[in-house]
Amino acid sequence: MINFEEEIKKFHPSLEIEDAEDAIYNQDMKDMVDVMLRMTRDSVLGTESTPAKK
Amino acid sequence: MYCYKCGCELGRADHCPNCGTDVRTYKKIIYTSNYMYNDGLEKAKVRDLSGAILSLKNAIWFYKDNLDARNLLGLVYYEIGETVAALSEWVISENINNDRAHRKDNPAVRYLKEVQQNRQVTENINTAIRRYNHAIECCYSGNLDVAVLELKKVLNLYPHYLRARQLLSLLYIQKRDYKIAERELQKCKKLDVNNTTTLRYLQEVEGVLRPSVSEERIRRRGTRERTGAEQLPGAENGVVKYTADNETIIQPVGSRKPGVDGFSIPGGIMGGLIGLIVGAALVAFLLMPARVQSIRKESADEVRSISAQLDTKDTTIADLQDQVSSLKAQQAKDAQENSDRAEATDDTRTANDNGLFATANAYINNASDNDTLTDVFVKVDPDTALSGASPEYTDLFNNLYAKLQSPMLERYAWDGINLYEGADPDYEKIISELVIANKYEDPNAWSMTYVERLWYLADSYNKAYNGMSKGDQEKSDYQENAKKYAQMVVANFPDSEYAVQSRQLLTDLGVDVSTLAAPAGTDNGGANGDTAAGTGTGDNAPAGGQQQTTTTTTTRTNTRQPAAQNANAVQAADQAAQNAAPAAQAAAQAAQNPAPAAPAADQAAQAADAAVAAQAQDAAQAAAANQAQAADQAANAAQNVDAAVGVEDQAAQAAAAAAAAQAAAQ
Repeated sequence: MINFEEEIKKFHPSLEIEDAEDAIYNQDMKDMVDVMLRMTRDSVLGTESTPAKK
Repeated sequence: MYCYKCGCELGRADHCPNCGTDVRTYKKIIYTSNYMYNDGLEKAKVRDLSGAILSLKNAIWFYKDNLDARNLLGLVYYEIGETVAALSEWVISENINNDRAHRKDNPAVRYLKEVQQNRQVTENINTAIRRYNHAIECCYSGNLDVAVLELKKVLNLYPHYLRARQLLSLLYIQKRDYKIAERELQKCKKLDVNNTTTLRYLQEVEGVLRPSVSEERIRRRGTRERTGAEQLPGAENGVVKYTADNETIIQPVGSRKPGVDGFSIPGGIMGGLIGLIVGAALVAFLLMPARVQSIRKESADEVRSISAQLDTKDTTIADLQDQVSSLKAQQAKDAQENSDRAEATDDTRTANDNGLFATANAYINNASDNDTLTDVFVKVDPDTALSGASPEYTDLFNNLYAKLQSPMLERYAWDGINLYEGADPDYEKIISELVIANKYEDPNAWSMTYVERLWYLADSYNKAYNGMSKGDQEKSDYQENAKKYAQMVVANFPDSEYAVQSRQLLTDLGVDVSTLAAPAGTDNGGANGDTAAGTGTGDNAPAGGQQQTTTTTTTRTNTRQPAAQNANAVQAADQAAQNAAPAAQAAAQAAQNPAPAAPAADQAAQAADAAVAAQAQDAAQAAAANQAQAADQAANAAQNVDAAVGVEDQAAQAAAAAAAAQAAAQ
């Protein structure tokens, strides 16, 4: 049995075209490559908790 | 694939050939991203847009610079109505491509251009989004009807808007319009086949509409979440109650719904066949007769008009055929007439030729046998003999005519007169004789018996006409001829005794004698030749009972040439005749003197007559020449005049000698 109230909450207002610019700017562009690069940099340079590799 | 550090193109090695960076992990990430992209592409191809979105998002999450994944994601978003998300992905894709050292052709540019260029579509999308947001607000506030209306408008503007359609389905489910909800959810399923929300709502709706199917689904899935007697939504006491459109449907659980649910293929086919048969019967018995009737009427009208045209044409053809046959008959008649005329002409020509040659032959045999000559020469028609004749023929005719004109006139004139004055006259014969005689009459110097013959002709025609039957009278022109000859008598001889009788005849025939015209000349065959009274008594009958053969001859031309061409010669001959007349009279008077002088006078008279006759013959022969000899003829006539004058002198001298002899005798 579908709960109407619960289901309605799943429907959110849609962004208008004028708001697309903000949506683009606010988008999280981080990907696995960035994670990998960070991991690599951290391993090379080291962090406060993780000393750099020698 | 390019090195993330230096941008150099990577090969199969795990290290960058340029900077030597370890790119093994980098490559694995890229491969995984590509793998995800491929998965998303496969799902998008089968319309599993929700699954495609997940896969593509994963692909982007692994490698954000995967432009293909990003572009495809934008397309999928656009397909389900998420325009803003689609535009975001394309914009990011374009920016990533622009920032790259190795740019490639990015289709996101084209997608953006197409969306932005079509202002109407952009406007519709904006309006749809606004209405959708308003519908959500209405749902929150409990105005479901308004929300439904708004969502309907949204879907009118933007039918691909999946979330709006799902919300509308939800509202229908809430309102228990399961049928409509199912319809909308089916459309959602067409858009995105594996959308979980759509599937979930469909399951809800089918559970209500087809609980047995739903039960079986649940059993097959092994779902044990439902409690109780696995009561289906809307099922109470074994009865399912729901609304479809504006109807509330109550049916027992497990019953097959009529319509779409209870629809079986064989039954459907049978129903279709029955429908076809019923439709065909309707057409055959309701529509076809009217159509056939109208077609028959049209064809009958057309046949009628064609028949009318045919009748008209038949009439025209008949008229034309009649015209053709009458023209052919006329043509044949004209040809026959022409042939007859030609034959008649030929016959006439032949008769004239034969007559003329026979006359010439008889003349050669015996020139003085006038009886034979006139018997033969009568076959020649003086009116037609010279028509188209050669000069030699004309000369022959003229010579014979000159010789025979007087005998012909004398013979046939007296024959006709004697017949008329005889007992029991045969008027046809009289007419025949007198007509022949008139052909040889001189039109310029009528003979003594001319007026008598004219009257006899008029009277004979009249009496012959009166003796005819009614039918013959209608065809005959005898009465007209009688009038003609009587008129000629009245016009030319008004003082004669025959004029009185002619006037009476004309009055009897209904002619107004007061309006008679001037004399028209002689009848047919007006002779230009000599007139000879033969042995007839003339005006100058000799005194003393002495019969004298007085031949009142004239020095006329004896030819039948046209009068205009011979006028001068004729006039000269007339003048000579007139001049010779006193000489003849003087000779006659001299003949009345005593006997001793008589022989001399007789001789003088005879000499004068002979001289005149001879000269007349000469003049006639001269005038018998062709048209070129007209001057010669005139000269000859003048000579004749001189000769006549000389004769006159001789007669006067003879008379003077006779008077001197008488005086001497006394």
